[in-house]
Amino acid sequence: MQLSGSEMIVKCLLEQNVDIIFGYPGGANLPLYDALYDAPIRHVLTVHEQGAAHAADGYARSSGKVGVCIATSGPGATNLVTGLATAFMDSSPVVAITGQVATTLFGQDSFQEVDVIGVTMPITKHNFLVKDISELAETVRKAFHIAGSGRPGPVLIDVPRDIMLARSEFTAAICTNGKIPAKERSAQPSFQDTVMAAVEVIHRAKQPVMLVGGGMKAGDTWKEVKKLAETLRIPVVSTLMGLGAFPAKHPCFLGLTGMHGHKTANWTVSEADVILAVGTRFSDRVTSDCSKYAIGKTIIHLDVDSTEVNKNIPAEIVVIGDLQRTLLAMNAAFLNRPTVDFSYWWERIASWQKDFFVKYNTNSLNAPWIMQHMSGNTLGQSVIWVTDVGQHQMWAAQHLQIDLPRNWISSGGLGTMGFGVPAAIGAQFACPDKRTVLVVGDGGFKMTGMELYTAINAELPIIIVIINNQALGLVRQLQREFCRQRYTESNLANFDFAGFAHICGALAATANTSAEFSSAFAQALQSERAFVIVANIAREDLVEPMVSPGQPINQFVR
Amino acid sequence: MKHTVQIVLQSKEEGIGRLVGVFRRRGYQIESLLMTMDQTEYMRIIVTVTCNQLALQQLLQHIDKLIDVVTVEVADDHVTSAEIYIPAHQSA
Ligand SMILES: Cc1ncc(C[n+]2csc(CCOP(=O)(O)OP(=O)(O)O)c2C)c(N)n1
Repeated sequence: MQLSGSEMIVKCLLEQNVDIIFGYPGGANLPLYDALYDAPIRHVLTVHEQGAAHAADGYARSSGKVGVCIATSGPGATNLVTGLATAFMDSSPVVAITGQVATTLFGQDSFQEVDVIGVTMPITKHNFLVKDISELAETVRKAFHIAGSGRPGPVLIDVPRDIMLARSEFTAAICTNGKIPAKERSAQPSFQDTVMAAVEVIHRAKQPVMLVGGGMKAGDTWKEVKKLAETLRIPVVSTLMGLGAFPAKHPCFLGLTGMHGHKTANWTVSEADVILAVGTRFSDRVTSDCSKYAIGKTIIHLDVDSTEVNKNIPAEIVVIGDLQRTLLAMNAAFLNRPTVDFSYWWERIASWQKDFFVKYNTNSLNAPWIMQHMSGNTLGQSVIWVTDVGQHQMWAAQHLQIDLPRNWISSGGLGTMGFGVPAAIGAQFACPDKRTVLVVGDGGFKMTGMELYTAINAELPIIIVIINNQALGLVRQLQREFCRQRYTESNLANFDFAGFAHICGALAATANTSAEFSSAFAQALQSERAFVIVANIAREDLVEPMVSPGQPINQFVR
Repeated sequence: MKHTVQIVLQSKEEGIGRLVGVFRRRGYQIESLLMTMDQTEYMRIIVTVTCNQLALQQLLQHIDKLIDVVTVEVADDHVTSAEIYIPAHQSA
């Protein structure tokens, strides 16, 4: 069958069962948009290409499928950059297709020519420049495979305009996912032995803890981790990226650990003699000072990516490979072993829990209470919680009860303000049966809040809770602690967010008290249209706990 | 210690840039770099860097992770200095 390059791209997207793409047109990708005109793929026009990239990312994180975004050459492509970097840092499978100037114009600083391959090389898992139509279809297939396999990540395909227009023979393939042979990796020779060594170490541990991270999103890994924790009855703590991987209400779960982790969780890690780390990379937000983190501890590190082990924290036992497989093997090994008694350890943990218990007042509206209220009022409903970046993100991470790994979407590695609104849109598209609730700051909302227009056009019933403290809160908190309260550029003027929401066509309510918030949230849950709640809280509210910079994670500024 | 690393890469223009990017981003100073196109399909690259054993192992993992890298190995025993030695490519 003779097809144009653009038609081939569409055919290949269909092969991969893509039913939705987020994007923005322009000169260089005009042929692709022409091919989309009558293609059975939904295209969502975002307000900005950054929105398209974050939406594809939100789609991918919530569904586990590859998210797709497209942009034109030059500024279109460079507008994707923040979105791709965000997806890269959090290992989210996204395929970006960018138009490029015609190959005949290459290297001449032609109109809207940018070396997008060079620009995106460090922020993609891989990228391709297609210079020959005969390689186009196979490249698209490879891109999907690379994005979704192993440790997922974004892949960019740059397609010059003349390649989109050229015609060539196209041979259909059935979804090749998994069929292109992955690069031959020397499999760990002693998988079973290593697993047994890990089991032995845990068995002899006195005060073990399991640390779960973003890698837990892979397959049904979370089920194996839950089984392991229940068999052993060992405490579990989570990184920001791992939230939802372990049921929040489970008695073994101690919550978030790291920079703004729960005190009990951080103390448990600090006092542990064995850390079983599952799908986490020991980022500096988790370890604080990594030279002190592991002193006196045995680290067992399970990950799919061999470059992550011994990078930040040296591990005694390392198992590289599919996490679910590794945990299955561990669970099998523990089956016929006597149980170990960790009651002394649990007693210590219980005493921390008692010491550090905080009850949030309802006298004035505050974010921890808002999170607890929203969780309490959505019990039994399937909710995808999305956040932007800042204080509100930390409050959400600490106080929302998240039940499944794909129900928590937050920009962790890159910490991208402006991620929230478009990511929530992508998630709501991916999961129409779930309710998407976004928690966002007044600063971050302004960055990409215009995408509310996209949500309205698509009739998405997302709920947006703006935690309005009239400040770039997290920056202001740092200035309070470390810059002698010199609040350079971190106090924001008030803005009529409800008025803005109304103009976009959304419903909106403003809450100054907990009673007003309860009623607004109840209304929002009933709404079939996007609903914005402006929750006015005090500028002075601080995220607590907060680890002292450069100190062990059980030493807190507050 | 000085190490020589030998890499076989699929010959795409982008490949060499991606590879060099790994050294720069992960903080390895390239002391010498030699590139030969063996066949049209592959290129062979010999790089010398000075680092300890742990850093070398990390570097190999990072290089191996690149999609267009076919093989990567330490060639300390065969190659003393990339500047004076260009091995022939046997089979990729
Ligand atoms: C794109 C981007 N620019 C700057 C920052 C640095 N930064 C981190 S948190 C923050 C403040 C966020 O303020 P707001 O959105 O109002 O949320 P709050 O902290 O008040 O909850 C800033 C500026 C960032 N993370 N991302």
